[in-house]
Amino acid sequence: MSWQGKVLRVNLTKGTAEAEPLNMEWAEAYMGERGLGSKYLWENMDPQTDPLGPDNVLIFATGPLTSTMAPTSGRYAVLCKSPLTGAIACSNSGGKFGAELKFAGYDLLLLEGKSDKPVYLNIVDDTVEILPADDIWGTTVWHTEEWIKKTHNDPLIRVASCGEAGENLCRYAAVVNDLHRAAGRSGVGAVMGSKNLKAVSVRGTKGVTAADPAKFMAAVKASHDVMAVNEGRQELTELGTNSMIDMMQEFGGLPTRNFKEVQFEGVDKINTAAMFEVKENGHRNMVTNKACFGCTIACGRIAHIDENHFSIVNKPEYKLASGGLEYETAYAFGPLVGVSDIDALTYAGYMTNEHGYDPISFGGTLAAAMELFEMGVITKEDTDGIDLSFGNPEALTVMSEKTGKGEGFGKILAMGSKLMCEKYGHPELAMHVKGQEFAGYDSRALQGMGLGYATSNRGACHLKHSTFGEDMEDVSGNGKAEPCKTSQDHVAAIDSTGLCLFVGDAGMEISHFVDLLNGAIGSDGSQWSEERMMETGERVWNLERRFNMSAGLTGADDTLPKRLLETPAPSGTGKGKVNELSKMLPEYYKLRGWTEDGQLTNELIDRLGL
Amino acid sequence: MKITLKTAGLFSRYLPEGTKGNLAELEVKDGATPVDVARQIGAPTDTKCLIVVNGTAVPPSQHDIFTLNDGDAMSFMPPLKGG
Repeated sequence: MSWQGKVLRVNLTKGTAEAEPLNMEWAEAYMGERGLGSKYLWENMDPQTDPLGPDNVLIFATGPLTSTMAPTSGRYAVLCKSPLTGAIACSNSGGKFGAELKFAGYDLLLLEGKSDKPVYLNIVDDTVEILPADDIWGTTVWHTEEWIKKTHNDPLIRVASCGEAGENLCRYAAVVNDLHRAAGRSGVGAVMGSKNLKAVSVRGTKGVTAADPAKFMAAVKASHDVMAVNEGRQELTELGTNSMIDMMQEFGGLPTRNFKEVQFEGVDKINTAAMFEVKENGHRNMVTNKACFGCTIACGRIAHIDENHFSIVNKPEYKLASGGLEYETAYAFGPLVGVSDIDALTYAGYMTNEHGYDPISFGGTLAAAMELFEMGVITKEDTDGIDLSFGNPEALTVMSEKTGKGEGFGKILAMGSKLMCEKYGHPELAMHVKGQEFAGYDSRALQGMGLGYATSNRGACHLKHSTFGEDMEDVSGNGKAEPCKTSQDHVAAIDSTGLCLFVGDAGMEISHFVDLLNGAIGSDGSQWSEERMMETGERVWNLERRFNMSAGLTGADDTLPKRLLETPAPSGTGKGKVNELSKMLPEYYKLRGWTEDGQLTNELIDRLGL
Repeated sequence: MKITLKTAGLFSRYLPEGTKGNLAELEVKDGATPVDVARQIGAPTDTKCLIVVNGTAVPPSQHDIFTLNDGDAMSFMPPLKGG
C-alpha cells in the first residue's frame, strides 16, 4: 500500500492516455519519485535521444510517502533527459501538485511523443483528457493556472505548467506548480514545451492508504515531535533558507561577481534582516511564510515589492504579494551579479516564477554575460541598450523579464552560460558542471562541495550530497570522498520517498524514514531498514550514472571550471586555496567501485541489479 | 579582555540584552575559547555551529581549544547547510 499501483501513460503524438499497473518489482528496488522515475526513464527511452525531440520521455513521479500524513509529503519529481546538460534531469518540487496526482490514483505520469498543437492534460481521478491549449499558449504560468481553474470551475485543481520560457525552449526552463513552487533545475520545462504540452492539471479525490495505520501514525507523530523542538526547523520557519547568506558570507564561500570573489559587500541589504526591515515609508519586503502540503516547516517566503520601486512603476499587477527570496535566488540575483537592491531581486524572483525558469542558471548566465560586458566582448549593441555592468539592478530586472519572454538579449541568456560563453569565444567564463550552473557555495572554501558538484549526475547541484560538516572542519581535499559518496546515496534514498530533503535539516533522521515507510508500505514488501535505504540510494545513484554514460558523458565531465581549480580564492576561510578535485576524484571513483576513468563495472551492475 | 561578537539569524537572541543589530562588544575571560563564549551567553555549544575568528573559520574540532585574543572579532552562527 501507499503506492497507488498505477502509472498513467500518455502518448501526445497519438493522443492516447492509458493507465497501467505499477511495476512493483521496480518499486521495491527503486522505491519512488527520483529512484522509480529514473528506472522508468531508463526503461522507456534511449539516453542518446535529442532532449528536445519527441522521443524524450517526461515523467512526473511521486513517492510512497507523497500525499500521506508524513511531514512534507507534497513532493514530486520531474524527470527526463536534460536539454541543458544532455544528462539525466531530476528536479523536484513541493506545493500540493504531487499529492493531488497521487490522490487521483497515480504514482507516476509518463508522457511520450509530441502533440502537433498546443494541449494541456486534465486529470480528474480516472477521467483523463488531452485538451486544446490555444487560449493559454504564449501566456504565463500564473495566467495558465488561473485560466484552468476558471475554465473547469474548480479552484481546487492543481496545475503544473511551463511558462513562455518553456515554450521558447529556454535551456533552463522550469515546470512551475501552485504559482511559485518549481521543479526548477536542468530545463525540464523546456522538454514540456517541446512536446507542445502547456500544463498538467489534476484533481484527485481518492486518498491513500497506509498498510499499518497505527504504526504509521506513531511514526508520523515521532517525526513531528522531533521537528517541533528542533532549532534548525525553527530557523527555517522564521527566517527561511536565506538565513544561509550570512553564514556563507562569514565563511567566505559566497560566490560573487561570477566567482571572481567569495564575499559580497552588499550582503546586509539582501539578507533576512533586510527582508524584515521596515523602511521609512513603512514598507517591509517580507509578508509572511508559507508551507507546502503537509509541511510543518513552512520555509517558503511570501514577499512584496516597494510600490515606489522602479521595477514596478506602471505595473500594478506586481504590487501583489508573491514568492519571495530564498537563499539560492538571493545568491543568484545578488552576489553572483553584484546587485544589492532587494526589490530588484524580488522582482526577478517574480519573473522566474511567472515565466517559468531556473533562477540559479539565469543568475549564473547573467553573471557570465556581465563579465563579457565588462571585458568589452559584448556591448550595449548586443544587450538591447542595457548597461550590463555588475551591480546594475536594472540589468537584473530587465533581463529577467526578457529571458522569461524570450525577447532580445534574453534569447541569448536563455541558452545557459556554457553555450552563451562558447558563442562569444570565452568558454572559460561559464561557471558550470556538465552545462548546469552552480548553486551558492564556492568550492574553494567548501572542498567537498566541489567533489559533489563535479560528480552530481545532473550537473552542478548542491542538493545531491552534503559535506558541510567535513568542509567546516578542513579546507582541503582530505577525507571528503567518503562522506560525499555516502551522503549522495543517503540523499538519493530520501529523494525517493516523496518527502522534502529539508526534514533532515529540521531534525528527522534516517530511522524516522524507515519507520514511516514500514508503516505506510507494511507487508506489501519486505521490511525497510537503514541498510536497505542506503543500498537503494546507491542503486539510484548508479542508475543515473549509467543513463549518463549511455548518453555519451564520460569521466572527463566530472570536473570543475578552471577558475575554481586554478585561481585561488581571494578572501575568507579558503583564501589562497583552489579546489583539490584531482586529489578527491580518484578516491571517490574507487569508493564507488568504478573504473579509473569513471565507468561502471559489470560486477557493480550485477550487484545492484541495474 | 574584550572581543566583538557577531551573530546571524536566530542566534541574535543570545546577544546581551539591549544589543541593537547583530553585533556586540563582550568582556570575556583571558584565554577564552569559542565554547567558553557560547556558554557565557547561554548559547548552544553544538560543534556544528559556525565559528569565524578574524575572517577565518575555526574547525569544529578546535571550538573548545582555539584561544581568543583581546580585540578579536568572533562570528557565532548556525551551522552551514543546504538551501
